[in-house]
Amino acid sequence: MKAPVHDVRFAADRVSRRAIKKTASLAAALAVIIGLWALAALIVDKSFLPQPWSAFARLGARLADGSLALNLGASAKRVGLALLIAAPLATTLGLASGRSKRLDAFVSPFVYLLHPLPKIAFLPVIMLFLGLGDSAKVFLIFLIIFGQLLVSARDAARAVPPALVDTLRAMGASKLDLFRHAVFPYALPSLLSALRIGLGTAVAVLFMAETFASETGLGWYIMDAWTRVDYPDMYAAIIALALFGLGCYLVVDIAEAAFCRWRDVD
Amino acid sequence: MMGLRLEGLGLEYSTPEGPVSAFAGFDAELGPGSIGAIVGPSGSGKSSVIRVIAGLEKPSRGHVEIDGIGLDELQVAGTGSRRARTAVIFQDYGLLPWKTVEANVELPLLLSGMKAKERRRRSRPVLEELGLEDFARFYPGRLSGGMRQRVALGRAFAQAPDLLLMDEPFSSLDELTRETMQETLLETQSRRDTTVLIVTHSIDEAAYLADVVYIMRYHNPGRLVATLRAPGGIERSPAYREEPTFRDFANRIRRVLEGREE
Repeated sequence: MKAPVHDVRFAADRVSRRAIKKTASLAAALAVIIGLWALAALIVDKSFLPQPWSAFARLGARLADGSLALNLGASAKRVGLALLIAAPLATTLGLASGRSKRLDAFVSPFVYLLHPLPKIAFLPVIMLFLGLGDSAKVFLIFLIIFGQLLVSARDAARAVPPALVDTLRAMGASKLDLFRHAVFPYALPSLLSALRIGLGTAVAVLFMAETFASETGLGWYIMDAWTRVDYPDMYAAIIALALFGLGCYLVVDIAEAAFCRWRDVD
Repeated sequence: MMGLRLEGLGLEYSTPEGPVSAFAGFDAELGPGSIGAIVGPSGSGKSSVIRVIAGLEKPSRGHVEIDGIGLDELQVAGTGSRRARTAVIFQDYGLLPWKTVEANVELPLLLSGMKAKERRRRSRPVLEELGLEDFARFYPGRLSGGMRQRVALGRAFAQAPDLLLMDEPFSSLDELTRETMQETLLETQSRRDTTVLIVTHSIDEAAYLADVVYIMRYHNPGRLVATLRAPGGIERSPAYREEPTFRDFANRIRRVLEGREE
């Protein structure tokens, strides 16, 4: 009663081919952007729009002397710390309220009222409470990532197919088993998407936050270079910030490839 | 009496508009190793019967006994006991898309706290028996409907259950795959002598598989209107589907379902 083996291209092979294709198209898009930038610099011919290579050369120099690395590190630490605190809390609370009507009745009204508010507007308030140091910036980014993940976790947990829940319950699964084998894996792709959006917003807000009363971070460095009228320096830091944002995306992509392999098949 | 015994079983759901009765007064005795089929139109409460026996709903009335032990006792006795004895297969197979075929088959064993080595030892022969050994590392999303149903069967039999409950397990398969799966079910079931209760809306499926056919109709609530026994001395094989004995039995089920015969 052996079933026929269909023509199967192995998953690993397909994934690596897809990765090469993706890298190639990203490189092409990057080349177009740099080309347009070079063209614009030629046409505008002003010091505030230097040629891309002078910005990249400065980026290399600043990375080599360690001054950009210091500020990149300061920014990364703020985002990383906020993520580390927000992700487990928001995931747990969100998934739980998606599966429990009683908890949801308590959580959802707060989400409804607070989620649409632009968190950046609270920066002055947060700074009054937490001071001008890192904790205010970390808290602000925490709020953004937390809200995004909480809403996605709750909605995904609500949408788990009842048939899967029934199947597990009929096997005698405990509540914890249900979370581990059904609710969490079902929600994971949505959580990673939410993380992508959340990190994008977080980097933008971080830039704003770092322009206030800061002396470290890429946001501060960009504004500082601007006031020093050192445009290549300013662009170098903008590129560094862009690379940082890209790096965040990449990490989420890698996590998705590693933990959501089953989604490749459809 | 071993096997499955249902006594005056009934289920009411509570809704905001008040209690709604799904079915009532279901009596049945299914001997060990036999196959029972519940047939009836949509809304006659047949799936609810399965859900109660599976322990997913608490019966409002009556009593369920599996191999002489009451459902309440089975549930009170601890989480391990009931799941070891009863396996359930739902219409959409209930496979977890993020687990490989192998991991799906081993899931109930994992939930009962079995070690990895022992799980593998139990799942291997079942995968081989169902022709799934080459697909052990596949995700269900890459399998056809028939193959997925095989995985669901494998998962059920890996638990070595005394009772297998199936809720319209083959209804989303094409006619030929469906008949192949019926043969697969019969083969695996007879080797183990598992008691099977299957819900189906296919008259032919009930007539072919079942030793006992329970016919339900909607009478607000759904009720068991007749219990028919399959003709004696038959041998189930694809050839049997064309024999007059089979057609007569299927026609009788149809007449009772339509209310033309009691």
